[in-house]
Amino acid sequence: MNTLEGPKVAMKQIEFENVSLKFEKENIFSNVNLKITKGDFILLSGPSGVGKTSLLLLINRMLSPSMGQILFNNQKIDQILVCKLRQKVLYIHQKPMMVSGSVKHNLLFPFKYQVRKGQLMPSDDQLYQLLDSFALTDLSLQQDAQKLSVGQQQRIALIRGVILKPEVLLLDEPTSSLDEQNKELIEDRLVEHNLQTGTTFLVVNHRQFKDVPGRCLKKLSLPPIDGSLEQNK
Amino acid sequence: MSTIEISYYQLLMCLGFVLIVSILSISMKLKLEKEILIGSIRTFGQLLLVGYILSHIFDIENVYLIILVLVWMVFWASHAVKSRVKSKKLIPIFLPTICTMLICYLPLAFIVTYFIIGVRPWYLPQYLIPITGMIIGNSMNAISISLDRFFNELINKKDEIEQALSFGATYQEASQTIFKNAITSGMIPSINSLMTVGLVSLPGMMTGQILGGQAPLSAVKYQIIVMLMILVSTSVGSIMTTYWVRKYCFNKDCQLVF
Repeated sequence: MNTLEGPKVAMKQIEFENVSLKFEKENIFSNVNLKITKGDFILLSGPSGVGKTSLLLLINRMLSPSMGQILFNNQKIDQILVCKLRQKVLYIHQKPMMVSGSVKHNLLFPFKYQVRKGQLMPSDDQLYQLLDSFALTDLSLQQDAQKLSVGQQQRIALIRGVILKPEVLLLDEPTSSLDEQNKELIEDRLVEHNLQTGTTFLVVNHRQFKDVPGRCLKKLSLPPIDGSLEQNK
Repeated sequence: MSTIEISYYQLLMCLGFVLIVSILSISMKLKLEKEILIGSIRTFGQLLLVGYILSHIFDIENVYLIILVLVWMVFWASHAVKSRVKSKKLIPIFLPTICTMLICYLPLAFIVTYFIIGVRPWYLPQYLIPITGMIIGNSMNAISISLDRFFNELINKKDEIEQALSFGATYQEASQTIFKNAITSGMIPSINSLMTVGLVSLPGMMTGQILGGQAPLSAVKYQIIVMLMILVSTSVGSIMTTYWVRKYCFNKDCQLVF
């Protein structure tokens, strides 16, 4: 297991500089400042409608800020080719979206995009291992993905996010459709993945994740206080 | 073979058909009487006006005037496409449509009249105007169908498209399936008509020529040219316009603007 150990080099990966977001005339948030370090696992919480999902969408440019700028690896995100940015910063929607076809097709279809050409696709064995580890042992890769339960689809969507190997995973309520037992298991898997690969996680979640040894989950809450998002350990 | 000249009195007898449809609409509460009446009046008015104008144009045989008529037809066809297609946002439809029609259809009409039929001079209005009219009329329907389907699917599959975008797909990749479906739906009517022509119905132009006293075999040759000309014009028109309009549906950040 490739565990990140020892003193981590605190490399700033995502930075918000006085970011404001408006939808038409409605102000969602103003002058937000935020720094996220590579390998962080951050839980984002706050009341409904406060802009948690919007904040995630700003990072991979599915939304554009009305003011301020966002940096990714010290580069302004609007200067990065948008497809390249989204290859590295992946957003997974709260409602899992399965396209028509098998589970395997749903896991692998993003590999056909130009930006992912040359990226190694996992083998069937690796996919089955992932299905096992996400408590989908009984599932076949050939099953029709659209006929699965929402809970199963949510886990397929998470596996898809994992195998695409982004640098940052933005997860919007990733376990909202799961039962309590599976919620905890999947949360553990995500934290493990963060530990093993150093992928940065920014997760909107109403539940608190369980702390695991070697990983300190950070917590952010919206709305921002005086512009800055507080990071609490 | 001689033709029977139709008098205005005979033409007015057709109003009986309008009466039948209006009675049906009233009795079945379809509420289409107003549209039927306006449509019928417009048919009489527009076609008689066109008849008079064409008679003069045919007599004058002025190339600039003929081109002006063609541009006028393209303008109204593009306007009709814009009115028919219901897009959720204010996506420009008129400009791509009129440009496609001007760029593709006028040269196509020239190719057909000059090279295939061999009309001399190429702008002889009794050939050029009806041929361009058929190209524009059929393509107008194909473009409307394609764009309508494109926008419908764009709305229905919004989440799927946004998911693809968030995975790093280009807007072309994210909308590839709906783009293909839209073009196919625009092309299918003209492909279907290639299959059934002569078996199910006799096409309008051929019927017109036969009624006008032309020998059936000669009319058939013209009709074959027309069918294949419509095939290419509907295909190119649907592809070009949908391709162009699709670009407006995404912004510079590769976000869907719907």
